[in-house]
Amino acid sequence: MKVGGTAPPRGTSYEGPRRFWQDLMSMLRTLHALVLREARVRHGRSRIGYAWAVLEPFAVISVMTLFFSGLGGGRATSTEFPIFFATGVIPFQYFRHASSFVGMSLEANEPLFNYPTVREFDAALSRLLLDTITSLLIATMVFCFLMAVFGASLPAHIGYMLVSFAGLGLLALGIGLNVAAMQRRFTMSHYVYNMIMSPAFFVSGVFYSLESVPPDFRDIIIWNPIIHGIEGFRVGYYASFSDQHLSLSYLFFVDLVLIFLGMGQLMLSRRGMM
Amino acid sequence: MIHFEGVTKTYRLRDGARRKVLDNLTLTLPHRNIAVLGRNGAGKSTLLQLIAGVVDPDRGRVRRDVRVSWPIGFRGSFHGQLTGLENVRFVARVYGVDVRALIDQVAAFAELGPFLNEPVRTYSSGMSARLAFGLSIALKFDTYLVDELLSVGDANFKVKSKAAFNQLMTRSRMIMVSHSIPAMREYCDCGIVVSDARAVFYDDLNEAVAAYRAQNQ
Repeated sequence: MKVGGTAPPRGTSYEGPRRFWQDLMSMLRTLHALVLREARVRHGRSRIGYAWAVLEPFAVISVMTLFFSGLGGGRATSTEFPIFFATGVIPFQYFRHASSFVGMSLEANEPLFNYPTVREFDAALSRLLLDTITSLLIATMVFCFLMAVFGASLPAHIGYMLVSFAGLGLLALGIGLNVAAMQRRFTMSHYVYNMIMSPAFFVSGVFYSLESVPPDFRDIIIWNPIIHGIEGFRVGYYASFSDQHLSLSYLFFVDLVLIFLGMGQLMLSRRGMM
Repeated sequence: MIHFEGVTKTYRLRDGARRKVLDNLTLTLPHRNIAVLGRNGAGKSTLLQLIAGVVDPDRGRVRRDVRVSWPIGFRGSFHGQLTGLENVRFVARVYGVDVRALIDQVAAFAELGPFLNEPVRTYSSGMSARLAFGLSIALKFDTYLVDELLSVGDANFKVKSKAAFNQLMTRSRMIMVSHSIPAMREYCDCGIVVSDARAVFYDDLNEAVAAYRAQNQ
């Protein structure tokens, strides 16, 4: 009988002096394992599995787009609004879903932290990665749908869209980390977060642009970091879209602050200090 | 060797108060089979968690120059929706070992046959215990952590797992928490007694047992 056959690579038990390279490899392995596991678990019971994770939101976004375009149907510009709406709802749903998903990452994976190589931050980051991949697939499908049905044009600056998308992803990570760490102490945290976020759809510029709203209203909602991600996404999609009120640096600044706070909370919770 | 350097660890209780589990502990654990003794709630499991590095001290640090396992036989990480194989694969990926080789080893030991391809939620508790134990001893660590062990499965499996464990101990060492002093005597030759936020190492297990008994009187 063969026991203890395979020795894990050095560094997996955080033994010996810390080496950046070892720690990084260890983290990448853990992320890889977690992403595959999360993808499998999330739709494990369904026969078509992961495909459902892409198809369902695609259907929701398409139906919402058709519904909202029906509302503006009388106007001459009726093919413009669905495209405008879709370029808002895609990044918005990405942020909404990812932040919530990351927010549950600790509670859902708590037993895994008995493996020394699996860190809390890995669990949060792997959920963000999975949702980012999924959302990019959804976005691609929706744009194909828009081009086929409404004759939408190709994105003007795809790099700009991706940067805005990344800004929203990091925002989801920052908020998710904080919610997940608080969830460890207050089990209601996740419900409270979802409650706070329920009006977000209306104040994040999903169906209007910062340019088009009254200045008094704009002065308030411009503090909402989500709106900058969505505006940025549109500035990237349209060849000429006013970026007068847009500040991606504000979005990334908020991202960094929240991620920093979230990591601090994680560190305190690992020490049992909160 | 595992070094505790000025380690303080507290826990927050439900009412918000703090309880000290370890207070400024400086201690070096030799690479031997070590028994951990202490009353319920004295902090034995916390000590193991600090050794494994799954919780961090409030102050101070723990240094280890040996590869430390997760608690042997731990199965809380098994996801009920995933099959036995998928759960094994996850651990193989996390530890960066060859997936196929690990699966072969675990499959040979756990004797689950076709059940390896079934979701873990369909397993009996004996079956998941066999899978967990097989997985724990398939990877090679320098020090294994043992939190109450070696009483899973039927008589046949007990004999088998004990033989496997003894074979493992020819190359590796373990740190063992148990309430059974005979089990400790069988494997360990030295001990740590945890009580009142202190942990004392005894070079001789008999001394450790005597100190532990003296506390309980």
